[in-house]
Amino acid sequence: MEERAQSIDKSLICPVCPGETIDQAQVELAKQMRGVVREKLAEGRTRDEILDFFVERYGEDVLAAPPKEGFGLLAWGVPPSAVLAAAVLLFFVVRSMRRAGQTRVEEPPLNESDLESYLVLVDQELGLPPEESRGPEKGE
Amino acid sequence: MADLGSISLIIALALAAYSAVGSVLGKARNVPALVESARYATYVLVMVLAISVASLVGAFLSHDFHVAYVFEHSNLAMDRVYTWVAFYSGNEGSLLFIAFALSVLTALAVLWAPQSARDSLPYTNAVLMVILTFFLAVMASMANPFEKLPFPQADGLGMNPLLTHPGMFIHPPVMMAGLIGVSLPFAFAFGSLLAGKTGDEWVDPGRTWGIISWALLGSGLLLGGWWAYTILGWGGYWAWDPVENAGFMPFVGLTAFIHSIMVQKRRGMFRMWNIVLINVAFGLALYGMFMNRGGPVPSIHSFGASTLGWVFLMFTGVGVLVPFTLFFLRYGTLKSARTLESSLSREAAFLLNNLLLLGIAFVTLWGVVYPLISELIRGTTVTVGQPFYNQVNGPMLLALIFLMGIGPLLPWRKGSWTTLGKMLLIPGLVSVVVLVTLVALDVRKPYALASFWLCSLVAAGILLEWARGTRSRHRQGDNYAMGFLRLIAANRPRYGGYIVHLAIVLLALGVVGSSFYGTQRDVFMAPGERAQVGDYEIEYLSTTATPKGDRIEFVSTVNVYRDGTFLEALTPQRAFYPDFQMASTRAAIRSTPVEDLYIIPSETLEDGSVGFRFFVNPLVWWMWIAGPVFILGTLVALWPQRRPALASIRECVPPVRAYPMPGTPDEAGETES
Repeated sequence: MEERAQSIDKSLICPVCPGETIDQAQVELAKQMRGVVREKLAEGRTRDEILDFFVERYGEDVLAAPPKEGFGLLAWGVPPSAVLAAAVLLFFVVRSMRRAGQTRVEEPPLNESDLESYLVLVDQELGLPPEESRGPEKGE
Repeated sequence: MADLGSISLIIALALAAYSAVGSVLGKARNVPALVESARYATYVLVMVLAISVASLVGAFLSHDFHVAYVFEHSNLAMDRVYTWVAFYSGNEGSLLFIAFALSVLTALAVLWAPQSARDSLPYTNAVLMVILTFFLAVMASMANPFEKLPFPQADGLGMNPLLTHPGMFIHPPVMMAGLIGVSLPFAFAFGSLLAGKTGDEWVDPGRTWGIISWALLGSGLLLGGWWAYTILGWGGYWAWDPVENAGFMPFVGLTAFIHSIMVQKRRGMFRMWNIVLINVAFGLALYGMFMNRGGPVPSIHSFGASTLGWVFLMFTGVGVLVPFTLFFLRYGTLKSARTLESSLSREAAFLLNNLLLLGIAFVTLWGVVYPLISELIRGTTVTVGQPFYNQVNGPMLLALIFLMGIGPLLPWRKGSWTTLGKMLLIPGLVSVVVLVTLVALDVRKPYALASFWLCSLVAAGILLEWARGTRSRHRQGDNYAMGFLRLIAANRPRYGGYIVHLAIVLLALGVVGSSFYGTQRDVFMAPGERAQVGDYEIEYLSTTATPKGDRIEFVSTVNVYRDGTFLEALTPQRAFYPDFQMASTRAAIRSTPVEDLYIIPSETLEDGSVGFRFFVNPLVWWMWIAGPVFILGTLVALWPQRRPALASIRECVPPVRAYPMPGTPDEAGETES
């Protein structure tokens, strides 16, 4: 119950202190609104009904985020679509870059077939000579 | 005093304009003497602006209420130590601080510019001086910190009480220096474009200054969170509010840049992309300054605020459009030396990292812009607040942590799935063990579980690689401690990056713990009463009220018990400032690695009972630990890889090469015998 109330508190902006939700704000109005939330929950109202009640009273900007319906879908929909579009674009760019890369004469690819060769790489980054003691298959 | 500041401000404006014009003309017309004189102008500017800063500080210290800015932002009653804070508590002083910081950074950048960037340095200097000229001109014409009132006042209005906090000594200057610091990598990129250099000349200074301003921004954000946590009294540290976002976006943009620039440094790729990225980051930083200084954020002083906002907005527009235009003009010449070979490679991982980071920056910007769109189209104002950012940015931040676990394991150029699988095996097992343990401990929220799982994957991956590298060094004859240090020293950008990644993991632990498992309770208590919060029992003893200069301090004393045993006495405080009709709280926090018990008094009733707000915030402790770790990692990554500095570890560092090739004998090998 209290947990549900606090989650509703976090979705409502205190109308007199911009930017703070009513669970953060310490002013009188926020305190009253917290009281109303608990009263209505006790009466058996749902979360949406309570939010609607406050929207009717204070306007839509009392909600901490736009509703996921109607015009508000624009707010929620644009970011994922944009990121998705960018991901698709990136995919094609990478593909075309790889094709361009394959037509070139290339340096031999790294032999990365196992962990040992990875350690050889670490050694190389450290500037060490290749290590003989690392096993017969690596003897050079 | 103030006159001195005023005069030096005008001199500074003239010098900055001269330095900008002089270095471009001198370079274009091939007059080395002019270029050199412009460079000296850049150095002298530091001293001239230092005089300005000193005279403003002096005006505050001597309570010179003839100066409007001092009158508006301080009074006789305030603590002397907060004079430095009052200095940048308003627009004019902040602008002066930004200008001073820019002049210092520019002088250092010009002084330390590497050989490769010397040729285009006059242009880089000119870009920075144009930016500085803008700030100085704004101050001289519409926001002069030394402007005088018609006649001196006896006392000032005082400073916003929320700013009287130790965090305020470092948070604003670090933040402002970070925001203006983005100009440096930008100026190196843009300067080399202006000079017609389209290769990798700007990469080294661009990366160095990019990391410096990025570290400043990161520390600034974290300090801001700490300030909010201890004084704003709502138990949180981050609220996605417009001003926080304004600092967050350039930080995210720069994060993309300092990753992507590594690809150009090592592989000569992404030349165009890096220029685009630094332009974006610079634009976001300008926007950040616009938001904080003269933006639509309510401010106690209305003087010229709206005009200042417009001027900043216009400058932001120019700062974004001009470089992009130049970029498109030079587009054809910016071909990269190499191209991507495989989508399973470090390069590709960096691209994905850029996608996610820019995505986060875009979402944040969208959240800021959307209310304006809604108002334009529908005429209703809406709020885009925490629920939006948490739900949209949350998954992307998680994906980023996942990438942080995979990306560093991938080799440059081309990796293989089998190797990756083998390398992920142990971290994967560790993270599964962590996951199962958490479920057994009754952690059931899917989001939190996913976060902890990914965090343990990243941490295990990093620690495992350190262990492997150290063991490999140990086989060379070093003891473990020495081997570890040599490992770190041998590839500082890489291991510094790992340390920063660990800091991010620590930060994520704190964020996830406190946002999913925090509890909150409001209680009114009379002296002697007890209340239960989480596992804690709190006994309220008494409150004392003490008048202190500009405020009345209410100090409450509470005893904290757990399972019947006394833990400690805490003293949450609240101060009321009659002049401002405002209260500020100072939370009492019992901080342990497991959880914070956080207590703030909200009000005192006439019958002597006090309203308390209690929080139990799990894992927040780790967030503040992340700060020093973050800075340590940045320092390691930045520490110059010069030979003299490496005397102690001798020649175990190979000469810097584009890429070590397998099969070819390593020429540095002969030294270690």
